[in-house]
Amino acid sequence: MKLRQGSRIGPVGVDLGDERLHLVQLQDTTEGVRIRAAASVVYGESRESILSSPRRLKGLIAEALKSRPFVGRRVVAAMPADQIKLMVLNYELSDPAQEPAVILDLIRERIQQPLEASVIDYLPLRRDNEKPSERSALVAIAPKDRVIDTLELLRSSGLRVEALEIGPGAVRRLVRERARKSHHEHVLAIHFGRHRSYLIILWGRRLLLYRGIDFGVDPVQERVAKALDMTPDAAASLLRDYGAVPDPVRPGMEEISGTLAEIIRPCFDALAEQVASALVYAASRTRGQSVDHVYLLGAVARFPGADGLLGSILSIPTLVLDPAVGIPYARDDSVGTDLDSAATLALAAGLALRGMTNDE
Amino acid sequence: MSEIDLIPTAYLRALQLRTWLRRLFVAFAALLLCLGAAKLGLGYGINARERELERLHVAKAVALERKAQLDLLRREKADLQRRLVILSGLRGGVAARHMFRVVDRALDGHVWFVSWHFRRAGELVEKPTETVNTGYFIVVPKQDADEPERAWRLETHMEIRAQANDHSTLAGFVRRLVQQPEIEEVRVLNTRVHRYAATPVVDFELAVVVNSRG
Repeated sequence: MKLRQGSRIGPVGVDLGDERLHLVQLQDTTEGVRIRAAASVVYGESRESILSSPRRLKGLIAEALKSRPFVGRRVVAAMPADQIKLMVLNYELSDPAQEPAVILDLIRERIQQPLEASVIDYLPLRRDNEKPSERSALVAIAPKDRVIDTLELLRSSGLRVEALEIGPGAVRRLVRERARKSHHEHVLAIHFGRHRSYLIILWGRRLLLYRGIDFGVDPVQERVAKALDMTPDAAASLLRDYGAVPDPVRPGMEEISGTLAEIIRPCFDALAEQVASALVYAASRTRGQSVDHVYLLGAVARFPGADGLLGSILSIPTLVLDPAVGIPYARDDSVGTDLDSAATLALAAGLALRGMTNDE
Repeated sequence: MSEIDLIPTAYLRALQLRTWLRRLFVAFAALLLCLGAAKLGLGYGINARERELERLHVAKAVALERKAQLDLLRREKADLQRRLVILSGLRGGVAARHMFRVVDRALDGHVWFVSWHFRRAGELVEKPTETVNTGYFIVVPKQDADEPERAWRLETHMEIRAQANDHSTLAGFVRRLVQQPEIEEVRVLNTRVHRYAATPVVDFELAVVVNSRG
């Protein structure tokens, strides 16, 4: 594909994942938004260790930026999910100018602590059939010291942070971009972490639900390790290689995949219960409607067949949220079209989309 | 629709301030660098000029020394020219062999010479006002401005001791000699008559001043 001369290049979306650093940069071409560069670099040590050393992180980022045709040092990053508190506030408002004060009062009531130590931002939400005075807003609250630490970490790594946002915002943006082609407007996205995961229900442009659940990749791997009497690392490797469904490219491995599926199914059943609970909430807010699709992103989504397994339990079409499906690569030098990349680059791609689409 | 951004405004302002301060510092450092470079450049220029000045001083000293040498040589030249003028003057005038013809034209066969001295000489005298380019005096070039102007007076003369038959023969000889243009003056210094075997002979001495203008 030929890139348009002078076409707009967006900021780099940076996702400091659990095991890898993910970077994605988009470019607005004559044929729409395309992925200009994407990189996924393994830390080589624990996340906590590399985040405590700006020098090593800087080297890692420089290496990743150099490996692909990234341009500039402008980045959009997200606060780690476990460091932010998201809530949807509903309120009545007579004077729009008073909205920030009203929201702050509501937050003060909810969190019962001084607001000076927190960074707060909110996103007005569009509501269906709302009265003009009835409003709702998605509010993000993060400890100020953590926010400053994150910003300084990125700044000392040689990056210029254009925005520090929240994961659901990035996921919403990526889903919206994908919905342009798939027309899946009502979606549940599950963002898997190591110990906690997050359910995000998007209803068109509206964020209907954002909920943290006690589910992560570590309990799944530990369960496999315990069942097969192996180390968690070996179990993780086994899950990544064989997953929960047989690989048609490697016949004869059905037994391994079947065994793994049997082992992890109870975990997925537990997950499905929490998902079902969230879907009930969504139905209560949408006059009984349900989501069109479930998208998976993050660590668990890297396991082959995880989407199929969960989809079979939920009876809802479930897919890995692959950014390359909605946003093709501009050049034939993609970081990879394998499941591992597809599942883990989604958040970075959503962050990189900030400012690149018109529907924000 | 707007987006959530958790970057605190105060942090952005601080970052902006830090950026401006860094730019200011960089500008200040650049200014200092420029000033340093200018100082180095000027220092180098001044050093170069000082070296040039020193070289010129040396050249001036050499020139002065050469000028002194030139003045000395000029003085020597002037002295040599003065001597040349004197020597030229001394070499000038009537040649000695010409005097034979002059004297021969005055002889009548009754005068014979005993001795004949031809002397070309001169002496330094105060320059007479009327003697410029007269031939008698050679103006000597001054070596010093305060020095009085002097002239070299030429005295070319002959001293003749001779004998004549009688005084009338002597008088005729002197008269013919004086008539010669090459002769300025003839002075009879003395005469004496004595006999040789009963023949009277007049011994006489003449001082003949040669006309040096010739």
